[in-house]
Amino acid sequence: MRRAEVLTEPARAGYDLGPLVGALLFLIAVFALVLWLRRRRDRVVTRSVQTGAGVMLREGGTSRPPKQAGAGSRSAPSQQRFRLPSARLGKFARLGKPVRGLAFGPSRRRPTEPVLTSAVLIHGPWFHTVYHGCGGSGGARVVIRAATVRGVAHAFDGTPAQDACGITWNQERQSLIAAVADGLGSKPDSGDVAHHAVAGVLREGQRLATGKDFAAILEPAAGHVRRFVEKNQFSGATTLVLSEIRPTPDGAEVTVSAVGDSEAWFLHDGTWTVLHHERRSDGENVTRHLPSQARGRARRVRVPHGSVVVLASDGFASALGMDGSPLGRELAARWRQPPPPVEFLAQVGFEDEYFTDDRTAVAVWIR
Amino acid sequence: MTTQQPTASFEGARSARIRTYLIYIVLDTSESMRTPARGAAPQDAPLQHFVNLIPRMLRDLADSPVINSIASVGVLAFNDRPEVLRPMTSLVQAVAIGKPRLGYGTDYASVLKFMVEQHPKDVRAVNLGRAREGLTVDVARPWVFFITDGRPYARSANQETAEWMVHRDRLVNLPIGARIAAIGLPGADRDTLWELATGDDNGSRNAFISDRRTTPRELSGSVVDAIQQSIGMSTSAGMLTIESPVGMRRIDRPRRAQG
Repeated sequence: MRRAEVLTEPARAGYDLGPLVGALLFLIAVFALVLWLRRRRDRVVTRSVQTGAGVMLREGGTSRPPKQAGAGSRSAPSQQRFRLPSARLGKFARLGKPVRGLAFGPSRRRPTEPVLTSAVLIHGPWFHTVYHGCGGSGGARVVIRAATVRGVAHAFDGTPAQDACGITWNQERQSLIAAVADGLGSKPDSGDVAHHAVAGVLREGQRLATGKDFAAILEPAAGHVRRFVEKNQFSGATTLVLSEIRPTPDGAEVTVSAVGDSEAWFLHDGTWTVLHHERRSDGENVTRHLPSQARGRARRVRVPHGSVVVLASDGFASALGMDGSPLGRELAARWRQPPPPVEFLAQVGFEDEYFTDDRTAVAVWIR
Repeated sequence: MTTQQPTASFEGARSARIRTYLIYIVLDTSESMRTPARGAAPQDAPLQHFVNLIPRMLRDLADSPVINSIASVGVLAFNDRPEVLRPMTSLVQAVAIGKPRLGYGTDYASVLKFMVEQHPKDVRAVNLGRAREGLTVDVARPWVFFITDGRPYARSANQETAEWMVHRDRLVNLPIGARIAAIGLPGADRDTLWELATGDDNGSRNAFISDRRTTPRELSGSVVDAIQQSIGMSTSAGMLTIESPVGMRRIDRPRRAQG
């Protein structure tokens, strides 16, 4: 027995490699984890640069919409990113520079929609602006996006944008009132006139009593514009499109009244239908306008749930068509749900060298 | 779906529309344009100035994102007969500008007639060049910037107004409906410039004469400004007259036309 014990002693007294191997494996694991985390971060950054899928119209078709941008998909916002010009894109991708400003991560939540409680008037002569909110309650609810973008032409000339838009909620009528005005570029004070025209509509719209005809508010609003121009001796004129959207159990009742080439549309089930337009076929940039023409063209329609009612200046609306324009197709895919506000702003500011005018759009989702 | 008032036809909304503009710069290269003013150096002849200025004007025009993207510019020259120095193309396309051929006359009739015949071809070419799926191309009425000393002369004789006016009228009346801005250098025949130009119903026309103190660069800038004014902006009644460019004065209606 004793001998046997002696024989086993040298084996116990040798080097025990177990802890060393364990420590080494631990270090390798930590190193691999750090490496994996770093590579993952780089991949996220690069992907946020490379997978821009913003609305970019180019000759030969549209940019491809995100594959999973279906209705209500939580993953959709992560894929709705701005597209950068390809040359810059490549440079950033190569350098691995983070372009995080307008790229949304996968865990991004949908925006909270503030309830529209007072009138909102947007006139961004020098900058882009976006508003988001909602109106109504329960089954009769609307979600609003409104944006105005200074056109390339004005930005290049160093002159202010001349569009304006506004929305307000009429508590008594339980309806949303929206307006878009596009100042005429040939007159220097048109931006102020457009701003005043929208303010007039919001003022009149807020105090419009139940049972009154909404389209009739165009006349007093036009009167405000005329007096404003005369009093200030302004050289300005504007188009104006206004709408009342009254949510109903079936969808909404939409009344549109307008003077000039700002337009009203609604989108349902991937199809665009025009509610108001005054397009010319001779290529002339001539339009009816306030204060000279105060007689509006009015129209009332019922639209179902899931529709999007859009009012827009011609800088945006002239890129829409009933036969399927590139922009119309792109937005039909993307506007099944209200996009994040900044995404909406980017969509209004879509890239196309032919559309250089100021752009303003108010879009209302009927929920 | 109910309609409260009759509305416009929605046919125009079937497709998205892009608007494009044709701009003709027409340069008089007659002998009188090659003659410098009394006491001036030969290189100060008006023609040489304009020949040098046209590339600069095109570069200035191309700087504007609006003109660069939505307008097409053609350059014509004329003396005894018309010639195309730059075909009607978008400014983003690199196209060589030809050197004007030497000639002696100032044949207004031939260049105006040439433009009447050339315009439909240019419209077709621009439509083809800009065609995009899902978009309709609308070509606006053309603007013509006519730089001349205003002394029509052909076949060794002064050209009668009636001889070229018939072609001018075909150019400015529908279906072409061109708008002409006539730009003259100091000493140009004001009455001819006024008759050549188009304008509004109040008798104001796009006929301008440059000041003697205006430098060639200022003159070029003024023409570019006038072209920029003429396109792209929403208007109430059609842009019939442009503002007087810097360094130029608008020409009043001639006495013989007032009667």
